[in-house]
Amino acid sequence: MNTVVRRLPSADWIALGIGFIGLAVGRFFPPVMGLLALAVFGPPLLREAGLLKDADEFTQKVVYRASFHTLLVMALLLFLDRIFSPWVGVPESLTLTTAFQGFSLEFLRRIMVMVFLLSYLIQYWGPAHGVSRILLGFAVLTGLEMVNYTSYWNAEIPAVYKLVPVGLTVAIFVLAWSARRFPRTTGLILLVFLALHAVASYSMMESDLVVEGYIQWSLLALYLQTSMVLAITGISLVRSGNIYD
Amino acid sequence: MKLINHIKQHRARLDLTQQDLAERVGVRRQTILALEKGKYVPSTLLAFQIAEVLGMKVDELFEMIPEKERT
Repeated sequence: MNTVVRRLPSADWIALGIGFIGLAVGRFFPPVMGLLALAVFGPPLLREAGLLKDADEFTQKVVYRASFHTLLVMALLLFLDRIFSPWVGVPESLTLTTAFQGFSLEFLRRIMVMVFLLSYLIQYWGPAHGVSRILLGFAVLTGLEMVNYTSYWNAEIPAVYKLVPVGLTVAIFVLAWSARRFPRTTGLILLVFLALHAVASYSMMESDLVVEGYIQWSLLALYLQTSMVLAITGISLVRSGNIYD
Repeated sequence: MKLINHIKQHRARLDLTQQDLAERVGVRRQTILALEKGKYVPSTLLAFQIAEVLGMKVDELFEMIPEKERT
C-alpha cells in the first residue's frame, strides 16, 4: 500500500490565518484589515486565473452554486425594489438603486454575504450538519453579544426579562443539537420561529423602518438576514427528512 | 434510474480512511463523504481516479439502479 502523503496546509488554511491576523491587528491599525480582503478573495481569484491548481471539483461546484444563488437573490431584491417601490409610493431617493444612498450598499453587502455563506455551508456539509453548525455559530454570537450587553444587565427591569436573552441562546444551542438528530422536526420549529419573527417584526418595522425620511437599512438588513436564516435552514431541514446526513 | 456507488465498502476493504482516500485521489475528505452518501455525482475523471486507487473498474464501483430499488 502506498504511503499516505501529508500535504502542506492548503491555500484556504493559509488564507484563514491571514484573515485572523487582519482582524486581530486591524482593530489597532485599520489598514491591516485589508488582509481580510486578501484572505477572502485571494484564493478564489488565483484559482480562476489558473495560478492556484488545488481545485477540488465538489468544492468548486459548491462555490459556483452558492455564487449563483447569491446572484439570484440580489437580482431579485433589486428587481423587486425597482418594480414595487414606485408602486407603493417609496420616493426615488429611498430606493435601493439610488446611488447616493450609501447605506443601501451596506445592506446589499450584508444580504449577499449571508446568502453565499448559507448556501455554501449547507451544500458543503449537507443540510443537517450544515444547519447545525450555522445555528451553533449563531448561538455563540448571541451568547457573546449577551455577555457584552452590560447596559441591559444593569437596567432596572424585572429579572425574568433578563433571562430572555439567556433563554434565546440556550434555545439556539438546543436547535443546533437537534438539527442533526431530528432534522425535519427542527426544520418545522425553525419555520414556526420564522412566522413568529415576521409577526413580531411587522409592527416594529412599520414605525421604525423610515426615520426622518431615510430608510434604516441596517434594521432592514437585520430583519431580512434573520428571516433568511430561519427560512433557508428550516426549509433545508424539512426537505432533508429525518434521515440525517 | 439512480446512480449508486460502492466506494465505502471497497475503501473499508483496503482499510483506508476517508482522509486517506481523499489524499490519494487529490480531493478533500468532504468530497469523499459526499460521494459515499450519494450526495454528489463525480466527474468521469474523478470516478476513474477513485477506481484506480481502489483497484477496481469504474463499472464495478458505480452502478445504475431503478429509482425505487433500495440498496
